[in-house]
Amino acid sequence: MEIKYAMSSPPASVPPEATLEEAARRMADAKAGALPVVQDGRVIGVLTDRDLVVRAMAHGLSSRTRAEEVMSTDPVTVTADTPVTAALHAMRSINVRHLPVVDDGRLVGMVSFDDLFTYLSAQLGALADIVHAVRRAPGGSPRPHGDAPR
Amino acid sequence: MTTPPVTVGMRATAQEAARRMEEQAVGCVLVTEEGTLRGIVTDRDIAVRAVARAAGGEAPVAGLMSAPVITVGASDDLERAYHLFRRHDIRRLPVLDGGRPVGILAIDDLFCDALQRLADLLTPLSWSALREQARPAADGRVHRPGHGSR
Repeated sequence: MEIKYAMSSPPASVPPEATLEEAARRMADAKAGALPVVQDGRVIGVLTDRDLVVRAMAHGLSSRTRAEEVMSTDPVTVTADTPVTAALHAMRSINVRHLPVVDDGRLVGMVSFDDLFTYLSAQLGALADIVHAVRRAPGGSPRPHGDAPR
Repeated sequence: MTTPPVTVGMRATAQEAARRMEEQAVGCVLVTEEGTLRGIVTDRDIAVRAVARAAGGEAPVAGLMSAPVITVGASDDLERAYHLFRRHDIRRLPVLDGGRPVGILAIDDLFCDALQRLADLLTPLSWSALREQARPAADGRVHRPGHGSR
């Protein structure tokens, strides 16, 4: 199962010269916790709402500061065909909850911890549907395809 | 839950709250007055209510916090916490004991709890199997319950 089934697209983004105020407004409008920073269509960094607080506000940086001064650089990215398991591993190893999704370096989406949580929960929900379907079968009898699992 | 909770006073500024979040590596601080919980400020609140509005670090936290705070009692059931998360658009629940905040329960904490419950269902040795233990059979051999097909 690939990232394309879990990611959000199209993603909100900001250019490197956007101010922190603009970036924060974009995050509020898009209801996003992280923005890819994009230059000439390529992702050059990621800026999170937490960055605005602990890297800028905590150090007295003004909201007119440019995104490129506060963002994380050299971002780890995934592609739409990256398996979900690889994205989980990436988030864990660099301790982030958002990953830009790119196609040949160009931004196509973002995938967050919440996206993966929702996606994986839906998979468990599908498993639960099997349990409910078996319970609803008339008399609870096994289906023609073989014994129902217990 | 996280304990003890990180707190600031009602007269604290946005920059002070941001600094506490950085120092303590937390995503929210509780705003208290003489030990009583008055509000809660998250990193996102500072981002979308202060930075997005070009408010400087001197903005008072009282203007950025959410209040009244939805809380849970230290002796309440976990069920109550699950119910509150389901019902309200929040990710964190301050925990009160005798009316004073003693910690913060996050969605992440309940996620780990729910995962542990799933793990409990997966483990070949359930607690009930351990309680029943091996019952000596009439032939003197020991039978272990719970060895059915999955």
